[in-house]
Amino acid sequence: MLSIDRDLGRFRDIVKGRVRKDLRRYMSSGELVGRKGKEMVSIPLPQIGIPRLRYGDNKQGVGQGEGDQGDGAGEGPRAGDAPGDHMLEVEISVDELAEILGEELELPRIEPKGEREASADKARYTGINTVGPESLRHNKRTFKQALKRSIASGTYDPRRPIIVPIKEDKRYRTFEVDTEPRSAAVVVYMMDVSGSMGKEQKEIVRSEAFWIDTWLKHNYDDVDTRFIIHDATAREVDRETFFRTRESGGTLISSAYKLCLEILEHEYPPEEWNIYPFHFSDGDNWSQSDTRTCVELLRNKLVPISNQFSYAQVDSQYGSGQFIKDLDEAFSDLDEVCLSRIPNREAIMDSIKELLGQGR
Amino acid sequence: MKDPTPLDSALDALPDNSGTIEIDQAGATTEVDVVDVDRLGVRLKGVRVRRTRAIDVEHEAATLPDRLRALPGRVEPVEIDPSLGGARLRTRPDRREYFEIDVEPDRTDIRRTRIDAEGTRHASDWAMTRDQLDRLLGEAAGPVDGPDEDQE
Repeated sequence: MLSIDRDLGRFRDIVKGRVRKDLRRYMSSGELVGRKGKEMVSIPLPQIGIPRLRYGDNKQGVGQGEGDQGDGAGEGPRAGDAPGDHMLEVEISVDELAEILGEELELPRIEPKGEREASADKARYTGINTVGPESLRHNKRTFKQALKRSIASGTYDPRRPIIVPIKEDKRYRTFEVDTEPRSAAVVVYMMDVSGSMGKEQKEIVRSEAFWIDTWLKHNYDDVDTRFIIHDATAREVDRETFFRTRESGGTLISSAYKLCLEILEHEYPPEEWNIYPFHFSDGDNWSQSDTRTCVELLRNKLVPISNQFSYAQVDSQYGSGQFIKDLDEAFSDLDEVCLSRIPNREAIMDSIKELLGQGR
Repeated sequence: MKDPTPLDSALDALPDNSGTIEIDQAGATTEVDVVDVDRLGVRLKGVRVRRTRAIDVEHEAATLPDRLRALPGRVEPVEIDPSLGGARLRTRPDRREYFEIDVEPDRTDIRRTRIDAEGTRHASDWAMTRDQLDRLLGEAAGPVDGPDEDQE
């Protein structure tokens, strides 16, 4: 191994160690959210200062030098006006971050359900043909063919083994389309955006969604993400709108579950997709009759087609938080329904563990 | 000695010091579910104001927090949705107890809820002096003119 590679490896180990050590802080502060690219996550790390000796003038200390007894000690150091230490930004891959998450939270690897695999077409150059573009010409096969023709026709001279391929000798690579199974998952995020869900609650949801995304993308080849917001009615939105919208209406949670089902039924056959609906709310549903509708929808339709249905309840200042209690009573018999309460940012890490710790 | 108020008269007339009393106010009838009453105070488990004239729910939800001062905590609108039939206001759930108010065009319901250690919600009663209750009834039924009428 080259020394530069070894150094780089050691540096990455240090970075990963720091991330691992501060994982809870990263999770509760939401520092990494928004720093995620397609493949890499940018992580701010305090610079590592190496202690070293400095040579300089020997200055006189307290009790030495000129001056009389009772004189003032003079001015001490003042507040600086220069910027402080800068944070070092390092990048680690989303996969590395997911591995750290998995190790720290002791998350089991997800086992995709046997038949829930989507097909993906992949071209492989496995065949040989007599026609094709010159860019795909197979020289070895071409000269072999020319040699065979030359020997068969008696024109081959071993003392002067010159082989000149003609058009009929040319051989070209051809590709075959292989259909190979790829594990695919769809994550449907649903969030209550009624008046009782404030900015803080949404930030917590944003952090949770970031880590859930990171883990699921680490476990599946393809992950589709859909976003639904709801108050008394539900609608599908993009990621940005999902985290920004605030409505003032009342909450009918069933509206979100109905829209989620509609999307899944039309676009994600459960035989091909691993399905993960996540719902975030402060737990205030408008009426108990709507809660009963939600329980029926979940039990009869949404849970049977999902790998896991997750509900995370974010505490809000004026929230009653009743919905998680209702779900807990209704689904204590179903392992596929996973519930988590998030009282504040510090609880995000534990909540992620609750939601992803089942390995489904 | 001051004259008995309609509330005093209704409370004093309760047999066994418990039951539901009804008080007519301007444009509204107020019902109070009384658990116990004595000369100074009342223990109650709910107040309902029924109006003869429908009000603007959004306006009522916006003005009620400032008007309603007889409760120990300030109520805040949690959800307002006229399409669902009303608005819900709540005091901050300190010590796992809170007051909840449902406002509909023709009625306002006030109740208290307690959350037990398992997280289950229960209707809970609470105590007030007669004067506090009298003020609460007035404030809950109080001037509820809609925005249009304000501009007149």
